[in-house]
Amino acid sequence: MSLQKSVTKTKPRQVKYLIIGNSAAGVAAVESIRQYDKTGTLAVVSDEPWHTYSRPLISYLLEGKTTQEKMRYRGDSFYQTYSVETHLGVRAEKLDTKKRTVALSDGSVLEYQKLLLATGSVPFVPPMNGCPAPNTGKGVYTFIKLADALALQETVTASTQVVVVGGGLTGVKATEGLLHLTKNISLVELAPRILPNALDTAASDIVKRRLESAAVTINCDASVSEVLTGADGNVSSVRLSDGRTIPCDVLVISIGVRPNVELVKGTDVAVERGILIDESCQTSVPDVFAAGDCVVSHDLTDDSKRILAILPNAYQQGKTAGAVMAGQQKTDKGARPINATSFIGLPLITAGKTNLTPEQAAEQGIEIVVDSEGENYRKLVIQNDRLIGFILLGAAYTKRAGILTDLLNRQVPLSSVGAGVLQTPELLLFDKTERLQRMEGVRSI
Amino acid sequence: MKKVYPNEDWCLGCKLCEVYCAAAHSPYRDVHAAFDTPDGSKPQAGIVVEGDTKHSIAISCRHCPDAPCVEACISGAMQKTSDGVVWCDTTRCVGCMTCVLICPYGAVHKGEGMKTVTKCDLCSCTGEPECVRHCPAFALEYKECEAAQASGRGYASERAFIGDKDSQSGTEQVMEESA
Ligand SMILES: Cc1cc2nc3c(=O)[nH]c(=O)nc-3n(C[C@H](O)[C@H](O)[C@H](O)COP(=O)(O)OP(=O)(O)OC[C@H]3O[C@@H](n4cnc5c(N)ncnc54)[C@H](O)[C@@H]3O)c2cc1C
Ligand code: SF4
Ligand code: SF4
Repeated sequence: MSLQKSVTKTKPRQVKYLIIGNSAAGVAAVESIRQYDKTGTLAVVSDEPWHTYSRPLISYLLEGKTTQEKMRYRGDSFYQTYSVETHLGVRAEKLDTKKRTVALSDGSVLEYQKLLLATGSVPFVPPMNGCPAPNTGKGVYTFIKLADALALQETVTASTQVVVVGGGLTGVKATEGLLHLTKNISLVELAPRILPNALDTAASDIVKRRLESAAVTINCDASVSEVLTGADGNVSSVRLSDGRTIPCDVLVISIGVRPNVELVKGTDVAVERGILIDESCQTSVPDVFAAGDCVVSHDLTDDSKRILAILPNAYQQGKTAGAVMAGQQKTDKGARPINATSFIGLPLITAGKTNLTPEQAAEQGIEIVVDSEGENYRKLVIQNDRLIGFILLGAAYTKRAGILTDLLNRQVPLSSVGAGVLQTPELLLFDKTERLQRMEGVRSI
Repeated sequence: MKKVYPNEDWCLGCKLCEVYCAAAHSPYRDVHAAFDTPDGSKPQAGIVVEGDTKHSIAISCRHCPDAPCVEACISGAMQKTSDGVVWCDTTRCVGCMTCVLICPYGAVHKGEGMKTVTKCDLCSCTGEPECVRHCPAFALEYKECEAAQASGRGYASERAFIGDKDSQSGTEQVMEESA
């Protein structure tokens, strides 16, 4: 009652730019807005209490490869330098697009001229029989926030039995991070192989062997049918779909993410799985923009609408949104799925279309060229004389990968470049005039 | 801004630029010590020669406006100074290679046994870059070029200089700990 009163009393504070989310897309928008407008009031709201931090680095934090200090996404003086009013550790609770206001969990209300929704993703937690709610101190965790990593760091010791559900990129990275804390880890993946979206069977097997040699038990074609708890309500074991039981003190659910569209529910901002945006990153409501993991992106690989929850895409969309919010003309034509990471020291780079059965390839006139040597594996996917995707695994094949990405992004006819450029990516294999022009340093993409 | 421009017609393919660059960015900062390490590890250069002695070119970072590597970097380690120099803070880099994946020039490298990436940082502006100073064929020039306008954002990122031991950040290569 008293809270209600104080809320109605509060006069909205006016800001020119309001950004909800303090991560890649939000930071990009700040940097972009300030390139064009150095003085307009700019406020950033995040329910996470921290200075900017790099989300992908939470597994590296567990591994001890970075620290909370070093995983800051921007320098200490970021907010001062860019004149940002911060509302950190505060949730944006209610958006009113008619009044142009956002009510915050601390009772204050902000009125905006331009709003950016950079709310990112939420973890997907499927219903599992008997499973306590995640992050409630009962041994069940998600793996998407710094707080998740810090909680795991506190709980997991050398004797802890961990089960990670989800053998996708984040599940495998979580496993790699947790290996630093305990050697008792079982990974459970529904698909017949780990990293099913990014990798084909051959490449997936190489990564699997790496993980197994680090003592991880991998269960593919499996799912958790029931979570069993002890008298204290904590997780004690999980039962798999094939009937086996695995003892477990800590259950990490890392199956995937969904766009976080909570704030726009019940508003006239159009949503289809994610927030819908146009090429200028504007939503269906004028002056309301959205960028990053929370939106539906345009995947240039097959001209489809898809959630592309990767950091470079979040940055690019945030940058476009920021420029348009500051009155510039700018468009974002879309992106391609690209990713670089490593698994226990084995580098992996993927881009574009990588997963096709030989039948699909034959049907669509797609050529697939595979090379492998020990733990190095390379798969090139070519259609109509253009590179449309690749998997590069291992140090031997990942060198100068950006030249391949460039061939893919610009859809360069491969016959116009010197033979062998896909095997040995070098600028020397390009036409000399083009090379000289490009070496002037003018951006080509 | 000034950058390193290679002249492929004069390049001998001798790779001395690589040697001096790698040494300057190694913890040893000395050619002999950098290549004659106790554990046999070799430092990585930011400038890398493509081709053979018949036809070669030394490629290094173009310090792109709106640098794709800076924008894609997942950790924030890759950054651009207000004067346009793109550099990697190796104390924050986790070696994920997203910058390697995105650089259209193939100008970012992860050396064998390295935890972090290496690229040209114009020797942190300490006068003339090492590669240019040591090229015997005068095939590298450090000069202004109108076609490439510096496009710093007007905000400086914290900048570390090689040899600046007090700095929290750095450009020095970080090796994997041998297990
Ligand atoms: C473990 C892990 C590893 C990853 N590895 C990689 C990788 O190697 N490469 C890569 O490209 N990508 C990777 N990603 C994906 C990458 O982190 C995301 O694509 C990126 O962070 C998206 O940025 P964003 O700004 O859109 O949203 P997010 O980073 O999700 O940030 C959104 C922020 O908004 C806040 N927020 C949401 N709603 C509200 C509200 N109502 N009020 C206040 N604040 C709110 C959230 O708490 C969050 O802080 C990884 C992700 C994870 C979890
Ligand atoms: S490393 Fe590559 S992408 Fe980055 S600034 Fe240099 S040339 Fe451009
Ligand atoms: S390798 Fe280092 S500099 Fe490159 S993207 Fe990853 S963290 Fe950034």
